[in-house]
Amino acid sequence: MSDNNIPLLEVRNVKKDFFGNVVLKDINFTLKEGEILGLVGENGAGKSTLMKILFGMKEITETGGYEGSILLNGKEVKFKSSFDALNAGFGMVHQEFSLIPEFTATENIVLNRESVKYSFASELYGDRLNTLDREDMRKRAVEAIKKLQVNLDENMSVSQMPVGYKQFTEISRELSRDGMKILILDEPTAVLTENEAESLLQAMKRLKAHGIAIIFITHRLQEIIDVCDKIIVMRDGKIVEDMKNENINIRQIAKAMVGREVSQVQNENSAQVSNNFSEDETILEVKNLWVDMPGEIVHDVNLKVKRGEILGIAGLAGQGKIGIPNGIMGLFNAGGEVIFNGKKLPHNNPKECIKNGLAFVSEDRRGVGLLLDESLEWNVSFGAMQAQNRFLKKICGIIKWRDKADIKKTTERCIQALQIKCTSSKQKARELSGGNQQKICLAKAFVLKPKLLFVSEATRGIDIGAKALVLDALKKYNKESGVTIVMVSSELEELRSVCSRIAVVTDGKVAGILPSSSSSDEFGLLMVAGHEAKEAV
Amino acid sequence: MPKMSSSKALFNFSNKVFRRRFIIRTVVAVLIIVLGIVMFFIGKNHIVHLSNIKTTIDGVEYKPVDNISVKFDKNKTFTSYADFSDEVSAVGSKHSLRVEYNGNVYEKKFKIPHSYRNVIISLPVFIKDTDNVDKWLTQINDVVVDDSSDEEMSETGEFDM
Amino acid sequence: MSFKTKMNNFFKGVKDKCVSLFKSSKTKVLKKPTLNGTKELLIKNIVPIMFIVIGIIGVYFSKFSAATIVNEMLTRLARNSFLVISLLIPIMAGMGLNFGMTLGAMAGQIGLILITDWGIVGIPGIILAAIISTPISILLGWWCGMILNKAKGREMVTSYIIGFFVNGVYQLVVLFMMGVIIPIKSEILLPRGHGVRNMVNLQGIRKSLDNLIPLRIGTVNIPVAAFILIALLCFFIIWFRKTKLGQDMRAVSSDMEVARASGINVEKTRVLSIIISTVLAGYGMIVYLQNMGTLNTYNSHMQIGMFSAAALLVGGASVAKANIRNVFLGVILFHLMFYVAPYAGKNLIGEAQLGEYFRVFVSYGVITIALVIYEVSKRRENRIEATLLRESTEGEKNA
Repeated sequence: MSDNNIPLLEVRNVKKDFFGNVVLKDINFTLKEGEILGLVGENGAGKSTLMKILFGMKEITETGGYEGSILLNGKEVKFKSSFDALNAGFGMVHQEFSLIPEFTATENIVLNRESVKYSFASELYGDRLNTLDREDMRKRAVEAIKKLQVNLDENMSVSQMPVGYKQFTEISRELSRDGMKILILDEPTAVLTENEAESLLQAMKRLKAHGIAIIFITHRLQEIIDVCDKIIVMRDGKIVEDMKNENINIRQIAKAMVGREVSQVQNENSAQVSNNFSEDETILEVKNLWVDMPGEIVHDVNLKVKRGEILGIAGLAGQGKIGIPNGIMGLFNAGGEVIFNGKKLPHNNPKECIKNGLAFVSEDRRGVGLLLDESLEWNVSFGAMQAQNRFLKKICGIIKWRDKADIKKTTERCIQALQIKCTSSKQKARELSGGNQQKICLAKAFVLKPKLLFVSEATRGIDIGAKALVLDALKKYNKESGVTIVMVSSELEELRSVCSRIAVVTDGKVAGILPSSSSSDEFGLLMVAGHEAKEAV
Repeated sequence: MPKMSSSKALFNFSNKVFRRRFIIRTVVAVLIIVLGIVMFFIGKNHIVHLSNIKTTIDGVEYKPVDNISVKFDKNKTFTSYADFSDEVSAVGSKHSLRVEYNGNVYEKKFKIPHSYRNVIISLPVFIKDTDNVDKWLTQINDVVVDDSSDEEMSETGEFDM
Repeated sequence: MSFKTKMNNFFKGVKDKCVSLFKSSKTKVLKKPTLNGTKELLIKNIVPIMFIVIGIIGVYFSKFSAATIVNEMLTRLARNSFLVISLLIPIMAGMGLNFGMTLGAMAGQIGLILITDWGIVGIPGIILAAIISTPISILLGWWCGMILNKAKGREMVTSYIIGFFVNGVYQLVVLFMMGVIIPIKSEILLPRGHGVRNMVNLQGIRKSLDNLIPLRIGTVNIPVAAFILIALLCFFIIWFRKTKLGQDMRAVSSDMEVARASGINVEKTRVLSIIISTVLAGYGMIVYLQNMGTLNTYNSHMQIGMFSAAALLVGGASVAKANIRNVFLGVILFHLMFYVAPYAGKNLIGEAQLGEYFRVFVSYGVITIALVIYEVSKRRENRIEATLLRESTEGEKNA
């Protein structure tokens, strides 16, 4: 019987920085046996990093480790690898399934820990030549599944399982380890249906009876309230709330998650911005949009964009906001209806979109946005050249030739306007810094003279100074040319400083559209699973 | 007292399992090598010419003997005529030769040295001096060379499966 | 209808089948995820079906008697199966078709060259050759496996090129070192003093295995010992699949990263699969050559890889999945076509040469088709999976 005073897990003063960039500070909390701890926070709050530290993953060990200490049952532990963590009694179920698709549930549950029967061959070449004892394997698997009490057929092949059952298989795998004491579940319900999520929550409660402590990371606040004993809210690398789950409601949690004071200046900005467009004209209408983008699945998005406005699209990671522009522009398989300026746009056809006056600055700068090994001139002019036949002159009326002078002039104008730091317009795009590369992507989009510009994660990975510049450039562009801009960003503050309205995308749908002057909790509520927000209000 | 980390050594004889496996693997390896050597000896092929031709050894002339019945190893008994030589294949080292002439039987079990490839057994000498193996068993030193002139590699002869 | 029109229609039918396969993968995916049962079966097994058809046509036109065909097929089964089976294990480990089996073939050949030179004959000769080839195969297989680990995703092409490279080394050994550094004294040495002859007569071991336990039913000869050996190999493969190592290989082939995360030494497992395959290929080459009776010193091993792979694919195997049934079916179908084509060609047109060309065309063609079909169906499956996944989550969420 363990001493009730010494917690199973104690985290003391943990700090972590990645080469000077501090991502975690002053992390202190405890976890008792059989306790379920709910961990919430926006993306970038530091949850995943904290879990990686607990689990001894190499992203932590290879980047200078961490400061502070982790104690298990009062004794300090230092994990050099995930296997150390596993041996100490940790189990982790990641969001991306770590399952062998062609194996059955049983085989996955005991993966690399299979029961074996002795065979003489192992004397000749080692333990791996022992034969599998499938009956014993099945027994162990069934035992683990029983702890969860779900209806999982141990002989079913993983590739044929619905997503929820894959999740259960993963958890069973952790449970089948001897001495497993702490189970970390990283957004397990994100891919589950309501029924499956319910089963999972019930199963988690049953695990408590076995003395297993659980750290439960999720965005669905209702679930936190349903099962957790303790709730920890993280924001900007710190723990902002550490409370017992007694008489807590969703609003409180959401506010703690998102809550920052909106500054005076930003309020003024939003007021200014809202005067720039006519209330009535819809330039882009999206109906029942679905997008098959791995990691950002969009189910059923309905949206109306007003001509001349800067519309923001916010939402937590993986909820679908990035899928929207990618789907509309045809980069990923999509369906539904997209009507631009009264004309129906074809799907999966980027060229048509560009021809019709749409442009897209992708969040994948290096992959989609730039020709890294080509010069800035090429990068700036390429899109327009391909889709709109610009920068070309005809020789003898037939052969299309690149108009080098025009290209050079245009590129240099962009470099000046956006203050791009480079050696010349002929420098290779690969050599520029992240911020300047982003500006080139913007320049390329501007050169297309679009009527509507999608910008996805415009300031990701850019330092503060460049951030302001990029946002200013967008604002200026919108003001001067009346171009409609749809901005997708994971930074709510950034959107609030530039946009007039912000749509929040959760679970692949638009949860709601708010004016950017709305309070943080209102946004927070929409982000954490739309249908629950209606309940809370 | 500091704990000795015995798992780091390559040959960890203190570990019972390792000891057992080391012995088994060594025994198996030795067995295979022994098998190879045994195969090497029992599979050696000698081409034996049972010659019934006049031959002179140390000044003594041995005349060919006509119409003798010869049995080499387990092959079928055949008749050897004067001035003829018959070729047989002799695999391994232990062999036997049985000759019937004029109602007399001459038999000898003998060994062909391993390195001999082509061998002549002179039947007349065998009959006269059966027990003196070295007298009637000689090695031919010259290697019979094929005349096919294929010095260069031929072009990729596809599909000679 | 003349022969020409007949052939035209036949090829047209094949072409239509292929075209419909490609078409269906583009348009049908999102609307109708699964084709109906028999059509699906047909497409999945299109290569063996094609070959059965070609085989039947060929047999008919070659005018061979049933006994001849059966005899010939038995011989070829006994001769080639061992080699084709050696390809199974790398496929199990996700390495694709191991064209590096030529390395094993070369090791086997070196064993045979040596025993021929030493004059060791019969079963002892074969056993000795196998013993000699084993360490060479292990070394070559280990080296090949290490390189393939650095070329993950491109194993097949890499192993093909490795085969060519080691062929060069082999020629260096056999053409220059033998006679000089490696003592060769018998007549297999070229008159100039170094280098082994083009054709080495394997008289000593010719049919030793085949005739070990002879069985004759009517006019048909059955090489019982060879089949027993092949049966033993099959049992080995079946047993191997049940071992932990076999399970690890299956895990590695399915998802390398997941296997690695669970603690399986992915690199070592992959190398082991190549080593085993190479050693088996060495033995298989010895079985093959004892049946042929002659060693084509500089060429035999090069074609072996291609033909064994082709035979396996013809048997319905794919680059990711192959079992023992595929081996036997493939050897029979492939070699049936092989054997019958020149004769059919001669009887049909008067030109045996056409049959020869047909052989070449079909051998390389079948590998191409099988690889393309594999890619296409894999993509089709992925798309179906994605759609089903989305539909199921959507459906349940809306429920």
